Order: sequence, then structure tokens, then C-alpha cells
Amino acid sequence: MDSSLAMFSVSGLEQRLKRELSACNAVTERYGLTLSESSVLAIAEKRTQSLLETGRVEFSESVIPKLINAFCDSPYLLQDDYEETLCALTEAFYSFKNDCFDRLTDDELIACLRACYDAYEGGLDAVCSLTIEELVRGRRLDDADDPDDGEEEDE
Amino acid sequence: MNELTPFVSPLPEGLREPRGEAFAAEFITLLAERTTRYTMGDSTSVRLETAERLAGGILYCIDLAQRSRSSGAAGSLKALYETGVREAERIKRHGKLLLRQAESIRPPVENIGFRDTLLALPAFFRAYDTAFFAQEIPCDIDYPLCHPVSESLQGAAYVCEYLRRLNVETAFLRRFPASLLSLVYERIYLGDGGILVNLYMPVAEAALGRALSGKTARNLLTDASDRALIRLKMNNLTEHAAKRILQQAANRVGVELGMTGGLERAYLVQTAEALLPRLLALDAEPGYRGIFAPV
Repeated sequence: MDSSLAMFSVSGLEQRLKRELSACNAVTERYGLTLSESSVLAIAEKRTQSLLETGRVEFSESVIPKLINAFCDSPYLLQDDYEETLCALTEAFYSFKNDCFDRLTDDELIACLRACYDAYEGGLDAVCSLTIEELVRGRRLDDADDPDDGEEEDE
Repeated sequence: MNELTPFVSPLPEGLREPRGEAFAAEFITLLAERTTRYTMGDSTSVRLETAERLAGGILYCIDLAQRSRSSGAAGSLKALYETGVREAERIKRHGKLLLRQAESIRPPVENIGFRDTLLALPAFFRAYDTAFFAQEIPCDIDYPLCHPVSESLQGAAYVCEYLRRLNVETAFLRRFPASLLSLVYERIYLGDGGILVNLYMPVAEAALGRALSGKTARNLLTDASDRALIRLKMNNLTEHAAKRILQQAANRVGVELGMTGGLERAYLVQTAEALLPRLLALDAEPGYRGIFAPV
């Protein structure tokens, strides 16, 4: 480091994230969801990669434990897809955060993601390909396109 | 924070010693704390540009703290930062006083650029954020000074220095009647002074021209014989000797106009010295007609 603050290593922060993710297992076990050591590593790497790709920085606390806590009781989240889902949600989260120009708080954005995830019955691709406006609307697009459909079926 | 995230802000003076890892760790902790405060805990992440702005604000405040007399170089980074924030607040308060002074001592002639800049500056004091972005200048300052403020100054320090120079220029202009000033602008700018032109420079140079030709500086206009006399005076002089003559002319103008402030005099001397390359390069006719307002 000369006269510029060049680069900072963040190995300490990653270690902390790994500890936090491992600690999440205590909460998610009751829903049949656990992260293996390799899954924790994969998610931590995905986070770093997503932050770089979206041009965002995250200090100390990570959003991923919040995502886990918000999604772990979803009936559509299964152990087989747990790691893949968390990776996709992490990537989508930072991307949506940029799309909304940081106007949504983490909790608001996570609530929108969860609402859409459930509305699309766990269809991760459908959720991740939504625009921020569609995401905030928080329901399936086909429901939104024709709101009378549901009523006719009820009759 | 991302790995390999570049920060290009220069380190403040005094922190250029190889404190390396310890400094980086302390700085990251402080940056994390400021980021959490900035997002009010609503977001764990921020855009890279936001993080860079926050980092710039921290470094600026640390630099301010180290420059201020009240603090030594010792102390934690956070303590230095907090001292810097207080220093930025103090400079901001001083700037408000300078703005009030600028608003009360306007030049005798109207200039759109000058007026718009004075109208824009209150927005600076409303928007200036010492806690997060003390290095920024959240307003447009369009009016050009005769001697621009160094780009190395940032935030309220820049605005204070700008206002200080603006007030020095205005004080000088107020020593002349509006009709005479308008005449100078018509001769030099071929108009009433337009939007983005400096009002001080042509007047100061005109006064210096008068002093160089041995006449009173109160009139401001020079004729062909004055210009020929000035050219003769500057002919075949070493740079040092020519500079000396210009300094003497500035001092003579200062005495004649009753300029008691050291700042105002130094500013005029600086203006005189800046004349040198043009005086040596140009001929009396027509070259000097563009410097010293002709009759």
C-alpha cells in the first residue's frame, strides 16, 4: 500500500459468514434443511461473486442469514434444492437491490422475494426473471393479468 | 466487503507511513460502522460508488483532524475521524459567515454568473453532510475567480477559500464607480461582462497598467502612450526584474486605493505576477489593448 488505499483482503469477513451460515442450521433443521460444509463454501463464494457482478459491497454482516430465516419455512424449499436456491436468491437479491436503487430495505425486498417465490410455487427461474416492479407487486403475473379468473373458478 | 475492491482516495498526510495492515483493519471497521449508520441498518450492502464516497468522507475528515491544531497525530482512527467531523462543522460555520459577507458586499455592477453563484451557495450549506460526505460540494459554483481555488481543497474548505477570494475581489471592485467598471468590461469583454467572466481581473489589470505608466490607478483606462511606456519599461528586463516592477506597481495601487488588508494586497500582487508572461510576449499595439482597458 503506497499513497492509495489499494485493496483489502476480506478473508475475515468470509470466515464470519461461514460461521453465520453454519449457525443457521440450528434454526433450519426443524424444516429439514441443513447446509453442509461444502454448501456453506459454495454460498459464500456465490455471495462474493454476486457482489462483484452487481458492483456492491457488504461490510461485516451478510444478508444471507436473513434470506435463510425468511425462506426456511416455505413449503416449496426442499433440502435437495436448498443450496441452489440460496445461491440463486443471493444473486437475485443484490441485483434487485440495484434495480430498486436501494429504495427498498433488505427486509422489504426479502418479503417481496418470498411472496413471489410462494406465488410461483417455488419457481425460482420465474422469480429471478421478474422486473423489480413485478416483484414488488408480489403475485403471479398470470393472476395479475386476469384477476377475474380466480373469481369464476370460485363460482 | 468484496475482495480486491479498489479504493483510489489518497491517504491523508501523516498516514502515509507504512502502518499497512493495522490501518486497513481499523479503516474497514470504521467504514463498516459508517455504512451501517448511513443505511440506518436497513441494508447490509451498498453500491460500490456509495462505499467509495463514504470512504472518501472518512479520509477527508481524518485529514482535516490532522491539519487542525487541536489534535495531534495520535489517537485511534475513529477519534481522528470524529475530530475531523467537528472541524468540518467549524469550517462550515465559518463559510456561512463568509457567504453572509459576500451577500452584503456585492460588486457595483451586476453579473449573472456572480449572482447565480451567490444564490446557489446557500444550498451548499443546507446539503453539506459533514457526517458522511464532508469531502463533497453539493452545489454548482459557476462564477470564475481570477485565481481559482486549488482542486486539492474539498468540501467546506473549498467553499470557504472560494468565498474568501470572492470577497477580496469584490472589496477591490467596490473601490471604483460602476460606470467606470462598465467601461472596462465593454473594452475588454466587448460587452457588459456576460455570464461567466471574472469581474476582478480586467479591473485589477487596468489599475496595474495605470500604475505601470506612472498614472493614478483610479481612472483605469490607458491610452497608446501609456501602453508604449509600459512596453518600454518591460523591455529587455530579466524575469526577476520584470516581476519586481509588477510587484511595485501592485503595491503602488494598494497604497493609492487605501488597501489595508494583507489578503487583498497579496491577491493583487499575485494578479500582477500573473501578468508577466503576457506582457513579455505581446507588443504594446495591439497586444496590450487586450490587457489594459483602452481609452
